[in-house]
Amino acid sequence: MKRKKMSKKQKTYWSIIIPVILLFFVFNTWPMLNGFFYSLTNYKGYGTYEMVGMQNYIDLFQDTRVLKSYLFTFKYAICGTILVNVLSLVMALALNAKIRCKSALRGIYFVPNILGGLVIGYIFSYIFTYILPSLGELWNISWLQNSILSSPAYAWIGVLIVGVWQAVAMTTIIYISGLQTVPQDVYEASRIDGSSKWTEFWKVTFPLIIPFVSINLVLTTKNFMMVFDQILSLTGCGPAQSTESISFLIYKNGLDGGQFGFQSANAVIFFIVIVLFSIVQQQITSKKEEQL
Amino acid sequence: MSEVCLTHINKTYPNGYEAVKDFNLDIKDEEFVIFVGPSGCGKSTTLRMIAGLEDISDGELTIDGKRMNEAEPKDRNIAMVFQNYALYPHMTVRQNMEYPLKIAKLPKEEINKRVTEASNILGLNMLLDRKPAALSGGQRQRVAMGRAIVRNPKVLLMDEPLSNLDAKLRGQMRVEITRLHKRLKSTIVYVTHDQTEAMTLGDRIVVMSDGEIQQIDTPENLYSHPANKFVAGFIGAPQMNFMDMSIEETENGILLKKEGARLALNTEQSRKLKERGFRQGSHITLGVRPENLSIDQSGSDQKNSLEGTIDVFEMLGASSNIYVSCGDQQIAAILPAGVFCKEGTPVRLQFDLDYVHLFDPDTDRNIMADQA
Repeated sequence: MKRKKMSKKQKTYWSIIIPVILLFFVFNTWPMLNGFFYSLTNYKGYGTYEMVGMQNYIDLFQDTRVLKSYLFTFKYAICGTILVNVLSLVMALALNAKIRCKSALRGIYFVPNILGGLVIGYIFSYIFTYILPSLGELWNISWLQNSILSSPAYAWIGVLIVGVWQAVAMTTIIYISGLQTVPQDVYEASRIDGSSKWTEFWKVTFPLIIPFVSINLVLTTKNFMMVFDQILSLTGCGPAQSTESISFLIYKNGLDGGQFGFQSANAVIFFIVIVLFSIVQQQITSKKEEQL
Repeated sequence: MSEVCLTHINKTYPNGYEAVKDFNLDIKDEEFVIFVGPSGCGKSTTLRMIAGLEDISDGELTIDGKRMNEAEPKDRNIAMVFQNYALYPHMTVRQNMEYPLKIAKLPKEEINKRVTEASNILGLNMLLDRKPAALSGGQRQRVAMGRAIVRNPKVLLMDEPLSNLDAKLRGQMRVEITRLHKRLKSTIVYVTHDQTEAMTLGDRIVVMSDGEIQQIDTPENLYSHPANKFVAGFIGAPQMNFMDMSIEETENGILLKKEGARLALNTEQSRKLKERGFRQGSHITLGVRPENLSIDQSGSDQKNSLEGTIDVFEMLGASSNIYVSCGDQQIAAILPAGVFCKEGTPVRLQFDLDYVHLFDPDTDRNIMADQA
């Protein structure tokens, strides 16, 4: 009787888990294994190919364009992660305070997350290319008169602004949920104990939301490292490849440039880099995570 | 000196709800005052106003003669123990106790001295390096008290500090708090809905209902001379029995009548009733505590007794409770140990008339406690 009940339970379990495993394997694991296989070939994306062993990996470390794209991606990811987390935390603190229309404001601030990356990119491209230069001319501000996206030195800042604007929404929501886990009476105890708002934040609030900081750091770093939509819609990796991210390079040269095998090797390395980054971040923050 | 004066204190929320109405109380130095009442009566709100965690809508709060209405909680020289302990989860016991002292920028030696002293008093020495998550409820409560007392506050506020503990631990902690008060000689304001805590801990008790003070008195007086029906019913377990009786004037004094009961009041009680204008035929609410009822086994004095059927018999060990159906009313009585009753059997309850209370049915005021 008991065994029959268990088998029914197990049937339900497997009927739920098998489709998910299959989907994950077909759309994730199999392409990844395929990618790893092609990274050992000189496949162009069409025609025949030969096995080249680790040659693609050796070439990767000597390719200046790849190294440049890594440098851009790291710079973009580090600046983006810091900016997003600082801004989100400030915003979450404001939206968690006793203010009117709190729920409505939270909804409004979440809108950037609902819009697609490309849509936002094209809107900002219009703003950077037409609206801001027009305003620059109108108000006679010289540095605003040229589109930031056309400057090899500063185009990455334009991409960064868009990336941060969009990423802040989700990160803020995660921080708000983190702030709501801090019991109200702990804040009251801290007020009675004599904390100023500043001390309260650093000594009470921040240590208690470290698990959420940790999640946000990993998520934002990963998302910023994989920047693609903003590059495609804002700069197309220009000017002079100054905003070429790794994902964009893999896509562009892998599919368009006849470097499918070579860029597959790049994708494998990139995957390892992201995993390592996440593990290191988790290790650092998990030491400080505290249970409420 | 740590005196707290609340003068005409009111708390009205933006939606118009009046949580506390015209609260007046002078708390003396070293006094242990209890706010007691049912949930939502405004006791915690009043405590939070003293702490500075709630704004005072109207009235004046002074601590040691200084107006504190606008002062920040940290500037009131108070400490508070919360219902859910409110310990900092990421800090060890030692860090929790050190925190307010570090904020006050006390020298390291002084901080160490005070933490050691408090942990000695509260038996926390072995727990100093643990975090709150690794402590039991009773231990957390002690840490919360430790964090409060290290500051040597003028006033110690406690908001239902024992309500999350089991009955046994609550009893132990009650004794510890009494000891702590005797040792520290601090002024304590303590909120509870538990009348046992109120009666055992307090020098004075403030009974509240619907945001209003019902009575401020010593535990003995609250029990023996409740000001009104609410206080009489709130203090004591099982609660006081109330019966609607009609008055019959006789040559020997006043008789209270109800179906199946005739109670002859004593001279003092009769005089008070007459002074208050209660005459033949008028009604009165009689209150009698379960401990002032006994089982009349002889049946000799049928005049001051009431007949009924035992509904429920509860054996408590040191005593027993019986609940007796008398017409449409249920009367509770406490019997001494060794007396056993069978449910469903008829019984005659004898009144100890010297301890009955008489309430005006219109105002619910205690006629015997009121000044004539």
